[in-house]
Amino acid sequence: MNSEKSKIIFVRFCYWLGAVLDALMAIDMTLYMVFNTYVYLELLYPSDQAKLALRHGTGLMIGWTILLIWGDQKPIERKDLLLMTAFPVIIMGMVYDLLLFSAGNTFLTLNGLIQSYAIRIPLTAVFLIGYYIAQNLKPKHKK
Amino acid sequence: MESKQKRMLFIRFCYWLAAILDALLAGDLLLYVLFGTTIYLQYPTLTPITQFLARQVIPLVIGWTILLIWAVQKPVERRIILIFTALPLLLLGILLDLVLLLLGNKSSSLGTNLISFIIQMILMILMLIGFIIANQLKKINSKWNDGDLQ
Repeated sequence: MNSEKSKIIFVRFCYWLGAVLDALMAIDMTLYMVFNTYVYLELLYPSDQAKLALRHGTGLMIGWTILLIWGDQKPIERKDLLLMTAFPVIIMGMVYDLLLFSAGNTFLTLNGLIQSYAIRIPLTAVFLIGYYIAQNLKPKHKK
Repeated sequence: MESKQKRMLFIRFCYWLAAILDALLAGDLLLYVLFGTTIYLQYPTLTPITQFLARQVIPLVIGWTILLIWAVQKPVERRIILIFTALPLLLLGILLDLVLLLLGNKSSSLGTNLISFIIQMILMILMLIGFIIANQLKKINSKWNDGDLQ
């Protein structure tokens, strides 16, 4: 496999990684809102207020999943989506978590913060590397 | 003004309208989580759990605002963003509001849902019209290019 081909595969992997994680999150958010349950998210106990607060997020999460799948159709031309996923979506989430923890939010423990960072920091790095690689590839390499 | 120019203006208006409303939503959500108040959103009272769950929402709302501004740079080529805004986002927002209301969510009311439904419905129709017009422009441009080649 030549180097350019493997770079394209890596860039496409970035889109799919984001899409799969977003889809899992969207499913869990929907399960929580409609059936009061979840698979892997620690969404705490069912609360009417929490469900109302999450209703905007669920549509956006599904929208972002579809967006990343669309991005994968032309991975080089649509590389900006990788950058937008890293910043503001992931990095802003990390900043918000830090603010929340500093403010003493009872639902975000130190363990929760560390877990969140342990997932989000490598994810951000993967997306930024994917963007950097895509930027150095020519757009003729389509799917 | 030429018809094509008018159409392009309308398409740009659709992107900007959605981007501005998204930015306002993001601003109001930030006000809510930072100061416990809102300007136009009828959100539940601020509690640690709603503040905690806003972490899933705010970055995405800001992300979508930036996405719409990115799309307006090439409004015809990136017209699919209008569909993504209309269908998963707005339509799902309407459906989830209805589901919460049907499930008897105590923080959800018919009055606020009705206003939200009307706003989201109008926006969704505008986005879909914007997409259809952008699609027509794309076809016209393709024909012109084919003509030039022949």
